[in-house]
Amino acid sequence: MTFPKLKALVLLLAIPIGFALAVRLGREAEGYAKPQKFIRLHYGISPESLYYLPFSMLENVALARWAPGKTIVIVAGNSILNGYGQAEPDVWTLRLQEELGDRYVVVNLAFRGALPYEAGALVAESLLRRNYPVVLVSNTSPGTVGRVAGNAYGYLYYDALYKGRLFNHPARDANIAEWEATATPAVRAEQDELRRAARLDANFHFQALWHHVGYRHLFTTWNSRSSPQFWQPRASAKDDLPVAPPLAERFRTELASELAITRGFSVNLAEPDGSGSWRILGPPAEIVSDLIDDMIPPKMRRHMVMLLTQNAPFYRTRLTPTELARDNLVFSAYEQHWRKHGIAGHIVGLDFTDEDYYDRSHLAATGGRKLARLTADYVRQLAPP
Amino acid sequence: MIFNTYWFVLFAVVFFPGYWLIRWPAARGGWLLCGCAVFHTHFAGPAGVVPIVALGALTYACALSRHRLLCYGAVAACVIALVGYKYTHFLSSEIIAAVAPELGAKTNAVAATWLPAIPPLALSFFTFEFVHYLIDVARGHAPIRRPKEFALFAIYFPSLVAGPIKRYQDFTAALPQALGRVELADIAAGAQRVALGFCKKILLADNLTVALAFYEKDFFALTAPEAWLFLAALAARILLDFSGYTDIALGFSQMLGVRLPENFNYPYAATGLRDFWARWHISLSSWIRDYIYIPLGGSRHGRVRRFLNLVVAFALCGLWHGPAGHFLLWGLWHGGGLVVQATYRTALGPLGAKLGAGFDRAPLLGWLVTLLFVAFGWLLFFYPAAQAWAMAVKLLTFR
Repeated sequence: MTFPKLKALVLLLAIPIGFALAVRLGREAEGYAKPQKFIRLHYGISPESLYYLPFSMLENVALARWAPGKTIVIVAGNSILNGYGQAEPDVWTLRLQEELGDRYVVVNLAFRGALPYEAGALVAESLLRRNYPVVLVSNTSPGTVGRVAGNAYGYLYYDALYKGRLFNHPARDANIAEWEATATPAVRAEQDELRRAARLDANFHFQALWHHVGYRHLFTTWNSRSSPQFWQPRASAKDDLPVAPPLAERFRTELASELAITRGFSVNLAEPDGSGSWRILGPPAEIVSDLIDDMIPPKMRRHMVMLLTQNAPFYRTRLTPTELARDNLVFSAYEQHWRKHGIAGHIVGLDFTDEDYYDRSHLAATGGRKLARLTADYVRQLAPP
Repeated sequence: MIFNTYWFVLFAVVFFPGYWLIRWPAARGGWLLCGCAVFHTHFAGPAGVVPIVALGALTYACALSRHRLLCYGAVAACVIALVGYKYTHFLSSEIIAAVAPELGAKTNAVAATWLPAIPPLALSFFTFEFVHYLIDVARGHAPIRRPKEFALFAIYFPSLVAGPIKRYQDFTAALPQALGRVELADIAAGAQRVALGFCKKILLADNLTVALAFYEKDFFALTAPEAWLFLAALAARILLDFSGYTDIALGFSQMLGVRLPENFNYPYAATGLRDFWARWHISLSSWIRDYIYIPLGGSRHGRVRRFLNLVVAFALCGLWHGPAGHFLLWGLWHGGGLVVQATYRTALGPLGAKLGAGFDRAPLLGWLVTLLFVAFGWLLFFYPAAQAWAMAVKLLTFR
C-alpha cells in the first residue's frame, strides 16, 4: 500500500472512530452537564443568547438537590416567574424555597417569553412520568395556553419527546400535526428539521456534548450580549438581568401603550351583556379549553399550580370602571376555567402595590416575597409536607 | 445553507456509502441520478422541479439536433425563464414603474399571480449551465447523447444550488471515470475539503454574519476604527461564506470521484482588479467572459467598444447576483474599475505612466488599492446605494 493511500485510509478510519468516541462522550455529558449553584436561567444560559441548552441539562438541574422524601417544585412559565426585575439573591424562588422548607426542592426553570406549558413544564412532566414527587408552578394571562411546539423553546419538546421523556398523549400529537398542516411550507420545514435533529440526537447525543463544550470550555457562536466575551464558556456568564430601580423611577415607559396592553388582557375575551355588565366570550374560552386538553396530559394536571398574573396597580387603576370590571370578570372566569380542567388556578397580584412591581408585569423583590408566600400555600395544598 | 441541514446529513449517510459500495458503473450512475433527483425534489419542492425538467428537456433535445437555430432558440428560452422568474418583479416595480407607474403596478400584479414568491431553486446556476452547453454545441462541440448523462449534468447535487458553474466537457469527461472507480485518496481529500468548508462557513462566516447584522444597525455610531473593522469583516464574511460553501460542494463532489472547477484562488491577494476577477468566483467570471463579453465583441472592435463590452458584461454580472439596483451598481463599479485599470496609464498622460510604474515597482500598493476597491464595492453589494454611499463617506472621512 502506498503512503498516500495509507494516509487516506487512516483518515477515513479516524472519521467513524472519532464519531463513535464523540457519541460516547455525548452520553457521558448528558449525565452530568449542569450549572453549579443554579438559581435561574438567565440571559447567558438561555436560547436568547443562542445557547440552546438541552433538555437533559434542565433535568439534571431539577434533580441536583433532590433526595428521597422531598417534593420537587418546578417553576416554569415566563419572565415573571423567572424573576426578571429581581437581583439574583432576591429571586422569588429563593424565598419560595425558604417558605416551603427542606421537604421541598424549588427549581426555577422559567424562561423569558415561555408559554405556560412548555420548556420547564416538560421537565416536570418527565419527572412525574418517572414517578418523582413533583409540583409544577407556572403562570399565564387569561386566554393564553399555546402549543409546546413551534415557539422559541419548541426544540425542548422534540428533545424530550424523542428521548422518551414525556407521557404518551395522542391529543397533543394530533394538535401539533393539525397546526403544522395549516402552517407555511417554511414553518413545516423548520419543524421537520427540529424533529430530525431530536431523533438523531436521541441516538448520538451530540447536543449534550456540544453543550458541555460550550458550557465548560469554549463557546463558538457570536452574540451581542454574552459576557464577558462570546467565546468564553457559558459557565462564566453572569446573571445580569435588570433589577427594579427606586419606585420613583419605575413605570416610565409610554403610558398609552402599556395601558393598551393591560386592556388587551381582557378586551377580546368578554363582551357587554346588554345590562351594563360583561359576559365571557365563548369561542376564545373554547380554544383555551381545547388547548389545555390537548397540551397537558391528564396525569399532570393535579400536580399543577397555574398562576394568572395580574398587571401592576399603576396601570389597572387607570382603567375605566367598566374596563376594570371586565378585567376582573375575565381573570376570575379563566381561573375557574383552569380549575374545571383539574388544574389549581389562582389569580395573583390583585392585592399587590406599585412597590411590588418592577414594571407593568414583572415583580420587584417585595412582590417576589409576596408571590413566594402565596405560592407556598398553593404548593402545600397540592403536596402537603 | 442546504448542506448543514439534518435532512442532508441523513441523505448523505444513505447516499454516499451506497455510491461507494455499488461497483457496476451503470448502477452507480443510476444511484447518483436518483440521489440528485431526491435532493433536488426535496429542496425545490415538486413545483420547483418543473422549470429545470422543462428547460432541461428542451436543452437536451435542441442540442441533440445540433441545429444552430434550435440551440439559440433554447438559449432564448433559458434567458426568458431566468428573466421571467427572477427579474419580473424588479423590472415592473423598479424600471417600468419609474416610467409608467400604472403599467408597473399592473405588471407587478400579474407577476404576483403567475410567478412563485421566490424563483425556483438554483435557477441562476442551471440556466447558465444550459446556456453554456447550448452555445458550445451550436459552435460545433459534440452534444451529450445519453439522457442519463445529460440529466446528471443538469441536476448534479454538489454544484446544483450555488455552483461552481460546470463546463459539460469537463464533467462528462470526469463522470465515466468516477462511475467506474472512486479512489480512496479522493474520498479522504474530499472529506477534508468538506470539513474545511464547514469550518469556514459555520464557525467563521456565520458568526460574522450575526455580528455584522448587529453592528450595521448602529454603523453610523461606530468610531472610525470600528467602522473600518466592520468593512474588513464584511469583506471577510463574503469570502468565507462563499468559498466555504464552494469547498463543501467541491469536497462532496470529489468524494464521488468528480473534480469540479475551482471557484476561488486567494482573491484578496490580487494585486489588480483584473487579477481579482481571475481569482474570485472563477466559474462565473469565465462564463461571463466566454458567453457575454466575447460574443459582444470582446476587445476586437477598438478600445471604446471593448470598454463598453466590459461595462455591459459586469452590469449583467451584477444583476445576476440579484434583482436589485444595488447589484447593478456593484457590477458597474467593477466594470468601471476595470476600464480605469486598463486606461489610466495612457489617459492620465505622464502622471498615469508614473503611477503605473509605481504600481509595477510596489505590488503591495496595487494589492492595497485593489483590496480597498473591492471592499468598498461590497458596500454596494450588500446595501442600497444611498446607504452604501453614506457608509463609504463615513469610512473615508474617518468620522
